[in-house]
Amino acid sequence: MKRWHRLDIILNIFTYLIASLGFLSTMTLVGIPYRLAFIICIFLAVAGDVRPRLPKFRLVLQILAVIYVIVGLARFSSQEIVLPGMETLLALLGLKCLDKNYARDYLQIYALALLLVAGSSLLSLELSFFFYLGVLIFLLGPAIVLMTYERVKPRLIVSREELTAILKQALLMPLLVMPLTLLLFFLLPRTSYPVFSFLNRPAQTSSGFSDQVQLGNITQIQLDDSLVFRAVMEKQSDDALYWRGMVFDEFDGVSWRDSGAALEVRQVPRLRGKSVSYAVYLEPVEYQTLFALEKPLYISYRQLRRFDDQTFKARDPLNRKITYQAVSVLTDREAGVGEDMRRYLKLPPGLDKIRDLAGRLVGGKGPGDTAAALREYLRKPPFRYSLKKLPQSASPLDDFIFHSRTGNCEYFASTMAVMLRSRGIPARLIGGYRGGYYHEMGGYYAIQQRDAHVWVEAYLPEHGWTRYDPTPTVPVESDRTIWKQFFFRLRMTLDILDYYWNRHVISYDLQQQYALLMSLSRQVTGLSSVKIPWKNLGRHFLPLLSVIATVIIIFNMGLWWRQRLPRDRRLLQRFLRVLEKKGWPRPVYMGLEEFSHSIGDKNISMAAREFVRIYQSNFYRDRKPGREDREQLRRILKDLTSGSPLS
Amino acid sequence: MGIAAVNTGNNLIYLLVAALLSFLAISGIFGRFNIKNLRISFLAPDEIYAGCETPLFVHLHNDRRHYPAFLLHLPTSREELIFPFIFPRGTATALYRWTGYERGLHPVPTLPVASPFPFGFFIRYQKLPAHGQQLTVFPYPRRGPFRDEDSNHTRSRGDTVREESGYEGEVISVRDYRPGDPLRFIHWKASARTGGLKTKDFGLAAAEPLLLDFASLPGRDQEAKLSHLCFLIKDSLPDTRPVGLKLGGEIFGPGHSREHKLKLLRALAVYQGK
Repeated sequence: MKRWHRLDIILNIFTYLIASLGFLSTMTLVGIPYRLAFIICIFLAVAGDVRPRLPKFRLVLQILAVIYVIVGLARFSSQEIVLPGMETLLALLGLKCLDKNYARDYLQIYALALLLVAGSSLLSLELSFFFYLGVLIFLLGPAIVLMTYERVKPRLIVSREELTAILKQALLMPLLVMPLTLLLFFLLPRTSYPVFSFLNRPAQTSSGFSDQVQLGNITQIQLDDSLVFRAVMEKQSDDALYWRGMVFDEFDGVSWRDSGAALEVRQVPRLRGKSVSYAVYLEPVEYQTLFALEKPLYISYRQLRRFDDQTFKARDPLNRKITYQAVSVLTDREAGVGEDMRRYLKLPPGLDKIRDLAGRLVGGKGPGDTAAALREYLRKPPFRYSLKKLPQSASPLDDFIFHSRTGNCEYFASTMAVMLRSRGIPARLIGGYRGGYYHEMGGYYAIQQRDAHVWVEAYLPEHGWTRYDPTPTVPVESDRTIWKQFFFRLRMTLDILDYYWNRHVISYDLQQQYALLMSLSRQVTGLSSVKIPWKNLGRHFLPLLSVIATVIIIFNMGLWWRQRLPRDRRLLQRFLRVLEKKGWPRPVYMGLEEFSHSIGDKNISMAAREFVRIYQSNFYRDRKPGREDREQLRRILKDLTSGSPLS
Repeated sequence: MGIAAVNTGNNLIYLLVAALLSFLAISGIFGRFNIKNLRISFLAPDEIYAGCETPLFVHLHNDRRHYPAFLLHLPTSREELIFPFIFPRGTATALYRWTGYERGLHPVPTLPVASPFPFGFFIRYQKLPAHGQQLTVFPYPRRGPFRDEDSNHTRSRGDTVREESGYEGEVISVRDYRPGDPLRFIHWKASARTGGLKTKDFGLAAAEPLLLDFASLPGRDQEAKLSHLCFLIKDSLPDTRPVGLKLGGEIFGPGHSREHKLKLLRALAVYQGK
């Protein structure tokens, strides 16, 4: 039995899906009253479709829409333009779903949903946007096709086969739109000075470091799995992976601060060692610091400030995803650029016990030996690294050294810096990240908040600022259970998607576009001079070609299989062909019965009549011939071909 | 949105703009493809009279092998013929009301096929050639000023016998019996005389043939005369009475079949005059 479908019902289903997608993309951003209003609207709209007799209250809906727009406009401020706009759009979308009578109403719904998805990209730059966009493209194809049908012929009823063909066509379009979208994305013209960039709202930032390190406080960060930045570079040896961020020079007994005494400089330090160049993709943060591998030689970022303590700061907080290039020299020493050393020697009162201990430990040694000895002292038992039960009191350092002997990097680094200063050696704390997970496939380091670390720099007259890390090395995975490790690996594997999203979509700009076009044009102009390696071509492309050919053949066979006739019709065709060969072609105007009687050869005519009888007895009962009938038809055909019918 | 993308520098909006542009481009390609390889043909009734609205069957053929045709319409001056869907190698039919205002041979109307498919952003048109098909429009049948002398008059003249066999009228000959002849028509006398079964052959009851002569019709208006001839032929044929026609130099002998009627009417339709 043929099944029939009303196109307008299917159109409505697609329309609700699109509206809901617009809603989902902004659900977490808009206020609860708006969410509720939208859900109620959709619910009422579906109810209205199921029972068309429900009253529609068009006027009420229109007044409500006007009110929503006015309220939305009133909430605009210089601070917040996008969010009130989105909320208004969402409310309008819900109302429009209730009141859709004409094709233009449907188009408005799609436009509103599209605007919501677009707006959500202003509010956040999540990878989920890509998902919403993809699904939206796939829904929009069929929806607009059905809407075009509805406009030309309202409430059209089609058979299932027709509906399938229409939907198939409508879904094929998004499939082609996808790659074209990507191509266009990379080619659309970019400007280097966007005018309305203020509309882009700062993203959710992670706090991470601040300008002070309070003993025991960093612990929160070290339990945080969120990503801070990615650095695209070759794998480096593990002990070189110190990501320098901030310098803390002032200690008050409990916390370390950045005194702000560092001077902005332009000169680049003289460094010796292996240099690496890399790109950093920084997630949104609250501070201005840019991280770089020790020792940073150069960072390329607009309006960057460089300080004499070898730290780098942007003018504004880095509350959007940014990218910068950096060059570092892998060394633990730096000559220094003639800073005022007095501030690196200051100590608060009340650290006498530690001073005494330092004196006892290193009495009489030179600065280099002193620093080395202190580091070795702290690295060995009874000192132990832990993130739990950290000493927190008015004098946490005393508690750490003389009682608990358990602490995290802050305690170890603070102790060493204080001891160094007490021995007259300028010392400071460096805050940054240690290590990172190297993603082999993506070719980058992923640095998480939990990699946060603090270490010490001591100023040695012969070497300059030299890095010392007094924190006992802990096996990285030791504090993780097997499950945690598994999920960590899984997360890092999936991280590559996010990485490519950031790298190729979020941070794609005029500069990258220019580079892409240049490299394309180089390749195109280079093509003529390239000698085509035919041998290799065969090796690489023949398998590919054969795969493509196989796919095409299978596709065509599928088409043939789908388009071939049913079994009984094929038998009939064979029958007619056989008779034609025997010199009895069927005239087009002649029915089968008449034809079988018109055959002059008596034997053939008899066989043909029998064939036609069996065939028609099934055909006019609208059923397919059973196995017996088919056998009989085949036998007659065989007799006909062998030339001895009904013998 | 394009302006928004350029001015916010937001790549996600760029992505949206790219998607919309792609949709436009793809819809252009699909729309173009949708009206390719279509063919139109008309099925017209045998008799079309000038000034009378005639239903024509419009067949729209989709000659493509795999690709169905979607949402086609043929915009005409009075109505739109809509074909929502045509399967590959399929045909869809619609009824088109057409009026030929003058007698003669008319080429079939050239209808452009249009389609808003897929997205209704653009409507694409294409002219569809209907290969050499022609419609013959007969003159408008008008009783004219000759009504009394001819049409009604002739009816009252009574029946004459036509020289063709039938079962009514008078016996015109005797022939051999053929299986199937009714028993009561057997000519027993002749059968007895010859020794084989003989059957009586009867003539058909028929009216006296009417010979219409264009030149002898009163009046000077050629079209009016043709219209009247058309009326007479249409009124008498088929089967009422045999009609012959003298038109210009041509003479059509009397006949009474439908084919004969169409032949005469066609002659009227294409008559060029002096």
